[in-house]
Amino acid sequence: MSALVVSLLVCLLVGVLIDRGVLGDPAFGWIERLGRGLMLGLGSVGSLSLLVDGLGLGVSRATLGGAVGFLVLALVVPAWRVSPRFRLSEDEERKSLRSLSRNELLAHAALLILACVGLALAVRSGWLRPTFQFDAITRWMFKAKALAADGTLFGVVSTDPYYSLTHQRYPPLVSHIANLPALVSGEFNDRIASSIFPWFAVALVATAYGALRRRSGALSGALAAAWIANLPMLSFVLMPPPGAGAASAMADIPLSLFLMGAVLALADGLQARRARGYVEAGLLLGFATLTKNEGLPLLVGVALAVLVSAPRSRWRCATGVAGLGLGLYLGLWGIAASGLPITDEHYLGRLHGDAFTAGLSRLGIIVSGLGEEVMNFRSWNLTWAVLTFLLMLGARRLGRPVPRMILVVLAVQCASYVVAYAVTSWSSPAAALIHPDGDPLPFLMKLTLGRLLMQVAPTAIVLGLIVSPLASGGRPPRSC
Amino acid sequence: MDRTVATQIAALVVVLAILVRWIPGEDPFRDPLGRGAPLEVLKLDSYLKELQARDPLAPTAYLRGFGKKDPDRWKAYFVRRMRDAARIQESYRDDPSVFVQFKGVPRNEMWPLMYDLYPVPMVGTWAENGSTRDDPTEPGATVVESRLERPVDEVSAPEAAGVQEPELTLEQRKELRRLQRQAERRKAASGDGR
Repeated sequence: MSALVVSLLVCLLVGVLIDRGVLGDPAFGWIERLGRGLMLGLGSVGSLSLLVDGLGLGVSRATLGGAVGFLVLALVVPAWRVSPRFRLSEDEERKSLRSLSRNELLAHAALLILACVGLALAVRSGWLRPTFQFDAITRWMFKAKALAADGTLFGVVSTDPYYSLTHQRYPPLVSHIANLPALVSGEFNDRIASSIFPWFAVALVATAYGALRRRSGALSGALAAAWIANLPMLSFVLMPPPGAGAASAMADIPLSLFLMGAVLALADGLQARRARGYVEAGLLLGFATLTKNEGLPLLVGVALAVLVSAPRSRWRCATGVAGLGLGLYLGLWGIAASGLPITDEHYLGRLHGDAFTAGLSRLGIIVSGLGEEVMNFRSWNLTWAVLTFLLMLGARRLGRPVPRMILVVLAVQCASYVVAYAVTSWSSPAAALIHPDGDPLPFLMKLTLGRLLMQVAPTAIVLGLIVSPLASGGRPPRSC
Repeated sequence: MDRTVATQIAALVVVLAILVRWIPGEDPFRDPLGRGAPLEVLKLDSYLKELQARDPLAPTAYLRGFGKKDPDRWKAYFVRRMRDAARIQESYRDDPSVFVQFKGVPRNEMWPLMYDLYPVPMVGTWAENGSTRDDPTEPGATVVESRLERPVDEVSAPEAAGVQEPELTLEQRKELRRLQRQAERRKAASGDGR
């Protein structure tokens, strides 16, 4: 356990220092500070590990420990200097809680307790369960084990076609993060390595709470926390498929965290709430692209969103944010991995006319599959129905810059999923058994659609609560 | 009804939908709402904790067998499988020339095995690519075959392919014997001879 605790504390320290020293605008209250610290720290330490590996130094306690130590030393002084702004945030936080009535305070506390229950379930499951999800075993954890054994991801696992099961050219940020406990303890333990994953969910919930609390009030933030932390798909759907939960050692919750973080930072940038909101958005966008291939269409979505929402310097901001994300991807993985075999579905390579034409006939299957999934109470509660209702209630506000920006990001992201399903040539022995002569797409959707929706669900919940007049007494929330 | 009230009702619906899941169901198989069950997760994880205390491999074995018709039988199979993998890894540490050859192992059985075995060098493709138990054995290879289709009593017997029965503690032997008796009783009850 000490290996996990030390890994998390190091990430938290790095994240808090980056938040204060580089981004310059500290979080709002200790819950958001914790969430942002974990989010930035897990992403940064993982990226640093990627950099160390890309430079050919080998990922070991000495090399990564040295790099992290150097980063911490470089950040301590700038982080120390921002303390006056930090105190200002505390004042604002107290004001925000004081403005609540007694009943609202009780509801706020009850919702936060509910959020803690959901997260505790995920963290406990993550701690007790070894890796069991098929995709987690064959991709993320396989690479984490290879890193622990070989000290690099450019060795046999990534170059020998025999290990094509690991999706060799797929971005491996989470594998580098899962390797941290092994670096601390000196030996790879499957259960402890995978138990770092639920902490992405903790960061997700804490960040959403703080961001909504700043924008729409404490009650709205607490509802977001309780809602996201108790999404069945995140905290307690027992087994795969689709098995994207916080305790499953899959990369969907990490991507969900970086996606939501990038969108919230972009919102702060659009409204000039944070001096370096755009920088933060670019940084988180980079982490998202290093987490999963689904992070790449996010670059397009964010650039488009900035173009249609930014008040001024649209092209400069869009290019800057997407460019920083793309630069991180290329610099830390894309260029170094360009020689590795492509053994995943490689959707980018299938974006051509013939595949599109063939994919048109699949639209019916995709839409009906999507409809079935969003109505699945077991996986989603009433989340998508209630979100639709909230968006209808706040329809007039959807045209304002921040909701419009979030809508564009979500729309591009969801459209990329539809395109991927339309052009995919995926098949597997199991699909061949179940659909011997038919299209394996329904089987693929059964396995993966829940995961894809998990990637966008927290951001969609944030959007729903931003446009809703829940805690703003019917007045437009400050965010709009 | 104004928008604020409507939004508050929506918020209440979310909270109720969260809470409904914590109401214990009488029978998990009769769950018309498809509530899912956090309580079931707690029960499962407590059981995993118990297994973990007895044998570090048992939770993995149980989870990999979960969802199959007879989890106990599959647990025994996976425990055996992981012990084999651990033993091969140990011999690889002592002698780096050790390597594994897969023969006739289905892809979805072989991939988790590769994870368990890494960093031991491996050769051989999966059954769907045409590999069978009759493939010629490479000199010096430790052969790993599929055992998914075989019942627990055969699985627990030492393999002809050079895999030794692992050293078991008294407690582990008792547990294995219990599982074997359980499998025998099931076999007798079902009468299907498998």
